[in-house]
Amino acid sequence: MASINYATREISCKIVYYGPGLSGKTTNLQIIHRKIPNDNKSEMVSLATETDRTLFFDFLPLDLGSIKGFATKFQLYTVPGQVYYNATRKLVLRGVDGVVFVADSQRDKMPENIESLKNLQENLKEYGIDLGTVPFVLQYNKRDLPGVASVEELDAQINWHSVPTFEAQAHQGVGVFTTLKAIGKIVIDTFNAKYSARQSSRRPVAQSEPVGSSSDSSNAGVAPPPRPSIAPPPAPAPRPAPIPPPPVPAARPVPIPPPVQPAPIPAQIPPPVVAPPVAAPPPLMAPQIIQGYGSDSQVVPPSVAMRPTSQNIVFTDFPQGPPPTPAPLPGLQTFSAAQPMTTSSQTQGFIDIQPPPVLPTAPVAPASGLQGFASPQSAPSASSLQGFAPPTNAVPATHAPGSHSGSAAGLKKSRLDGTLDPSDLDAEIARYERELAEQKQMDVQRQQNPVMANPGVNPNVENDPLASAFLTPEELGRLNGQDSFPTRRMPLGPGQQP
Amino acid sequence: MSNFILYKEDIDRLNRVLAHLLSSASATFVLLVHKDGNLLANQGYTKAFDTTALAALAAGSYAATRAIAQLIGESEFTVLFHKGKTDNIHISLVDEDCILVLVFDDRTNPGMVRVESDKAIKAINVILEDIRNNEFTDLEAAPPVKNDSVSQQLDRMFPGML
Repeated sequence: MASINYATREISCKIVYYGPGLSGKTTNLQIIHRKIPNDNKSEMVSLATETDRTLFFDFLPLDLGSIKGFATKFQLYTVPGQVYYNATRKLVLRGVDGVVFVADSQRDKMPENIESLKNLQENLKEYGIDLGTVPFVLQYNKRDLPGVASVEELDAQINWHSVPTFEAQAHQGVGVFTTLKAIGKIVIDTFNAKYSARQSSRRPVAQSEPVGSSSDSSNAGVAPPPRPSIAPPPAPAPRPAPIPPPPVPAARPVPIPPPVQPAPIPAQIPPPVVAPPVAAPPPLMAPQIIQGYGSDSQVVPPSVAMRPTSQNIVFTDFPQGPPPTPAPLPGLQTFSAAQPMTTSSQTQGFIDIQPPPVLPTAPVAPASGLQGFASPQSAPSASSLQGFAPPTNAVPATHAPGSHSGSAAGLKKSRLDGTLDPSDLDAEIARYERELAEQKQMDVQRQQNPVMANPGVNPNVENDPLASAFLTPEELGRLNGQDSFPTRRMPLGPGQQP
Repeated sequence: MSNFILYKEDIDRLNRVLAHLLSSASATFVLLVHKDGNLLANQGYTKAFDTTALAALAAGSYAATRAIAQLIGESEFTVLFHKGKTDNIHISLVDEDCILVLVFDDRTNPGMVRVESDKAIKAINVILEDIRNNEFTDLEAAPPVKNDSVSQQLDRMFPGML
């Protein structure tokens, strides 16, 4: 699984060297490690036995440096080749982006090559990867030894998917880098293909977004600015909403009836009078103030603020943006603590080191309803966020029962900081009652079960601490006078006398 | 298998949680590691350590322990703790993709580390949920990395060997 880090502008890919034991996988990595220029040098980690057999894996991070602005890193792993290390081999294959199969060219090693290749196929299948589609090359190693099979012979035997093959003498470094280069190319190719496919299948973005951002890869050169966090453009271009929830995020709990509209609206946006509580994306593109626990509140690109699932935690000291605007903007509707809370999706932030002294009310658009500090009142949307007011303030005066109860998201949020969101109280109570009922049922079952009720360790159960722990005093009393209680409750057969 | 895409704001959010964890648990440093071995975010005194290798090894260690768990009928262990003379490592499961690695010394204790980790994991989970929804939003800012560039780079790194 290639990981792309836009913050550090890094792409890292995992390449695994696979093959039978003693075929030269670790040698491949050692040669690469030896030849890495000093400025790119990184340590190679080898988990090996005392006899230098790989025990778990070898690991070599290979920093290719910046390519088109993105630092590309390959993480090279080897696996232990011995048959009985299959469990560890499987672990190393997790999240693999490319595989190099290092085959031993010696004729008598052919069965081991085939077995290892089959094993690779099986292990990949467990991760849902097909050997035919994953970037894959073969390296025919040990070509310098006498009695090696010809390339044609090897191709016929183990090149099942007609992948590129390379002859190598890993000890001398011959073929090692050709193999690395080939797998690197294929991995990046595959990555690009996947990337382009994703790009072209991307859903249309929000209306106010630049048209060019939905263009396909062919006009990448002319197109608009990178993400603001990466390049430092003068005007921070908002990050496009990743998946703009087109009509209403139906999957998320939106328990608020339409008439309630207490979210503060920025003055420049005319408040929709009878708008549904969750508005369509466009008006949201106005800047919003997200309140965090940090020392400032800053205007951030709205698309960042309204990311679909980011309602649970909001942190706001983004590096860019205008200076803080602590005072409430003119024309803002402000809240009082007496207002009933009608939604349960408020949550408290995770970090509460220093709540800032100034608690401005955040101007927000309806659908993203972010609330400021100490504003325990309602906001109509599911993505509303409560700032960092104490939880006691947030107890609703009128909480519509069942409005949000049972929502997993709500519960999760409420547990985020260990406090219970009041509007999830119903769900919590229901859960408690359910557990209580289950417990009672268990008790009944335990009493009815002859084995559990009569742990047949010692007839004198009173002296048996284990039995005493499991039985009620009544049960103990009942059982005390009996000689062999385990048989006493056995059902009697026909004609049998008690 | 989906790619893991991290934007700056994701990293910022993760870093804030990790920074808070670092101070509340008095740890030396904290790493958020993908189970594949990739380092996602880190906070604390990491300069003196090879965090890349540490991430890969922690992921490997976790994977091995998970395999052990499955051998004894558990699905996985959620906490791993390695005690040293002065420095200790606490590895805890965040979700199906990530683990949290805390390195700490005798200024704090495992109990505190554990409690604070549990709190942070709840927050990290929320952020990771967002990260999973990340798309390749703007092609222009991102790769494609041209594969000939990779070749050229490899040629530069290993001259005369390709």
